[in-house]
Amino acid sequence: MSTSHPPLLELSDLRVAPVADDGSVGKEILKGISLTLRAGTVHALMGRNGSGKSTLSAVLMGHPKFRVTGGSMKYLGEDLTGIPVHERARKGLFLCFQYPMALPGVGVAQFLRQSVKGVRGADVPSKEFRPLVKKHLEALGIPQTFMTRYVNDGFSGGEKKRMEMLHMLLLEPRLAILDEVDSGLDVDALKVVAESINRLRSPERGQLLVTHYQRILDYVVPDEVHVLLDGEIVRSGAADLAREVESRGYEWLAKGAA
Amino acid sequence: MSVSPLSPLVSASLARASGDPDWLAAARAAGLERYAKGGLPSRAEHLWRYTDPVRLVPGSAPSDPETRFGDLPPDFADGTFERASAYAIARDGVLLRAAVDPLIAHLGFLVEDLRAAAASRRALVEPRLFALRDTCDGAGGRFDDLAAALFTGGTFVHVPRGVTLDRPVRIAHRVGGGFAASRSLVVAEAQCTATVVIDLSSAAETDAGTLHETIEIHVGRGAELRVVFVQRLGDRATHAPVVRSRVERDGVLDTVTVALGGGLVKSLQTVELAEPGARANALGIVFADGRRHLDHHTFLDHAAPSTSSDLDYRAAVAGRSRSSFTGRLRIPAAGARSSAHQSNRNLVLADTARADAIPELEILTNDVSCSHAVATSPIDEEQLHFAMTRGLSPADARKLIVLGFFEPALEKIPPGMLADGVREVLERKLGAAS
Ligand SMILES: Nc1ncnc2c1ncn2[C@@H]1O[C@H](COP(=O)(O)OP(=O)(O)O)[C@@H](O)[C@H]1O
Ligand SMILES: [Mg+2]
Repeated sequence: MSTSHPPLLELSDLRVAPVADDGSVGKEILKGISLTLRAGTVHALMGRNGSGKSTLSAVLMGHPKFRVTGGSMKYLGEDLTGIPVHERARKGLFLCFQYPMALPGVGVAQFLRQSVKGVRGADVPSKEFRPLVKKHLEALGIPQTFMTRYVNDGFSGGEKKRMEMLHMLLLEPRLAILDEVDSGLDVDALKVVAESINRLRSPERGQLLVTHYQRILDYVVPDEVHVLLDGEIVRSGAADLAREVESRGYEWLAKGAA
Repeated sequence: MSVSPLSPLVSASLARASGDPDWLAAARAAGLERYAKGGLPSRAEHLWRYTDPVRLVPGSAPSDPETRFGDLPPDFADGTFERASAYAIARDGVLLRAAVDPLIAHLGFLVEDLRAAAASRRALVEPRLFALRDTCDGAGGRFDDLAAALFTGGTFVHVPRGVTLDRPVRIAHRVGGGFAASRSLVVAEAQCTATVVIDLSSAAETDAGTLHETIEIHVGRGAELRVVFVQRLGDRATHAPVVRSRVERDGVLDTVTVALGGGLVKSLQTVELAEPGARANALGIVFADGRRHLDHHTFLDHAAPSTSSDLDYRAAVAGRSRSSFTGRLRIPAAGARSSAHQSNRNLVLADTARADAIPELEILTNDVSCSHAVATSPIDEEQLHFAMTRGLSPADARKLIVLGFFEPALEKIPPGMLADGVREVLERKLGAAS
C-alpha cells in the first residue's frame, strides 16, 4: 500500500459536544482525539461505559445530536463535517449500531434493496440481488423468512446483530465502524459476527472495531488498539494492549494513575 | 342555519322513485321528510365538532350520471376474473356493469344494481335496506336519510349461506364534478366467507364533486366478511360516507379503510355487535396534505355480551392539512364480558398540519377487557437517521417510514388488488409533500 494515498480515516484533535433539543451545545464528550486508520487495517477502540465510544461512532456517521467543536475528521482526505448522512453512506462509510432501530412496517427485503440502490446510485436487478442475499443469509445462518419480517421489529439481540452484518456485507463498505457489535452475543453468534468482519477485510477497506471487551479481538485480530477514557485516547498499541486491558482493567490507564 | 332549497331535492327524489317499487318509493319519501324536518345537525353533537355539516349540504339535485365511464383504473382487469370473483363498475352512484365469474355463478351469489334488486328480489332486499338507520343511536342519520331519498343507485352484494368466495368481489366507483348520492347493501349470510373491495376515485383529478354514500353491511351468524374501502378521490372532491354494519352471533367483520384523497371528507363508520361472539376488526389509514380536511368518526357498540372489537386508525398529515379521528366505544351493561381495544396514532409531517385524536369511551360495566391508546408525534428522528445512514436520502427515508406506519392496513388489501396502486399514490403524495 502506498502511503501517498490519504488514510481512510484521519482524526486530529477531534472535539465533540452534544446538542440538546433546544439547540444548546453541551459539555465536550470527546476532548481531542487523534487517530489514523489506513486502508487494509483493523483498529480496535476500547473503553469502559461512558468513555465516549458511541459518541465517536455517531459523529463519524453524522448524527444530528452531536457537534464537532474542534479539530477535524477526514475520510480519504475529505473533511466529513457538513456532509449529509446519506452522502457519507454513499461514500463508503457504514456504522453498525450498538442499538439498531426497529422500523415497524418496513420489510427487511425492501429496506436492503433501497439501501443498496441508494449507496450504489442505481437499482439492483432482482436477478443479482436475490442470489447475493441468499449467499449472505446462508453464511450468517439466517433463515430466508427473515426477509419478510419488519426491520429489527421484535428481533432478539442476536438477530439484530445478524441483520446489521447482513446489511454490512451487502453494502461492502470501505470503512466500517462497529459499535459494540459483540455485546450481548453468545459465543456462536460472536463467531458469526467475527467471521463477517473478517470476510470484509481487504487491502482497500478498513474497520474500526469499538468494544468494551477484548473477547471479539480473539477472532478479529486488530492491527492497532486504542484505549479511550473520558473522551481521550490514553494509550495506543498493538494487539497485546487489548489483552493487557482484559487482565488489568481500565483503572491503571486513568490519568494520574501509577 | 339555512338549509339550501329543498324543492329541487324533492323533485329529484320523486323522479328517482318513479322507477322504484312502491315500498322503496315510500322509504325515499320518509327519508326526505325526516331530512327536511330535522334540519341540519347541531355542531354541539360530537359527530359535527370538527366539520360544519353545512359544507356537506348539496346545493342542487344529484346530477344525471354520465353514461361514459371514462378509463378504467389501470389495475382493474375488466371482464377477467383472474383476481375477482365478481365485479361491478359504477359511475356517479349508478351501476354500469356488473358480472359474476361464470365458473362460480352456480354458488348463487349476487352482485348487481341495488335498485333493480329492490324490484326483482324484494324478499332479500326489503328487510335489510335502511334497517340499520337507528343502530348506534342513529348517528349520522340525517345524511343517511338524504342518501335514502336521493340515491341514484348502488351495488347489492349478496353472499348466500355457507358460500366461501376465495377471490374478492371488486367494486370500482368513479365520480365526476357534480353531486352524487349512492347507496349499497352488502349481505353476508350465515357461515359464508367473502371479501369485498370498493375503490372510489374521481374521473378527473380536478373534479370538485360531492358524493353522499351510505353502505349498509349485514354479517350473519358465523360469517366472515372483509370489506376494503379505498378512497382515492381528487383533492377537490367532497365525500360524506356513512358505513353502517351489524354483526350477528360469532360473525366477524374486518374493515380496512384507506382514505387518500378528498378535499373535505366526513366519514362515519358504525358497527353494532348485536349478538354474543360477534367480532369487529377495523383498520384505517388516512393521508392528508395541502389544505385538505379529513374527519373520521367510528362508533362501535357492544350491544351483546362476549363481543369483541379491535380498532386501529392511523393518520399522517402534511402541509396545512387537518385530520381528526373520533373513536366512540360503547359497552352497555348488556355487553358484559366483552373486549375492546382501540388505538389511534398520528404522524405529523409538518408543523402547519394538525391531527386530533378524540377517544369517547362509554363503558357501563366492569366486566370487560378494554384498552385504548392515542399518540400524535412527528416522524421519529432516530428512525430517519438510521435509514439515512444506510444510504437513503432524507425524502426516501421519510417515505419509507410513513409507508411502514401504514403497512398494517396496506398488507390487509388482498394481493394483486389495488395495494400497489395505493402505495404508488402514497409515494407520489409523500414525494410532493416533502
Ligand atoms: N446526547 C447526549 N447528551 C449529553 N450527554 C451525552 C449524550 N450522549 C452521550 N452523552 C454522555 O457522553 C458520555 C459518553 O457516552 P457514550 O459515547 O455513549 O459512551 P460509551 O459508548 O463509551 O459507553 C457519557 O457520559 C454520556 O452520558
Ligand atoms: Mg456505547
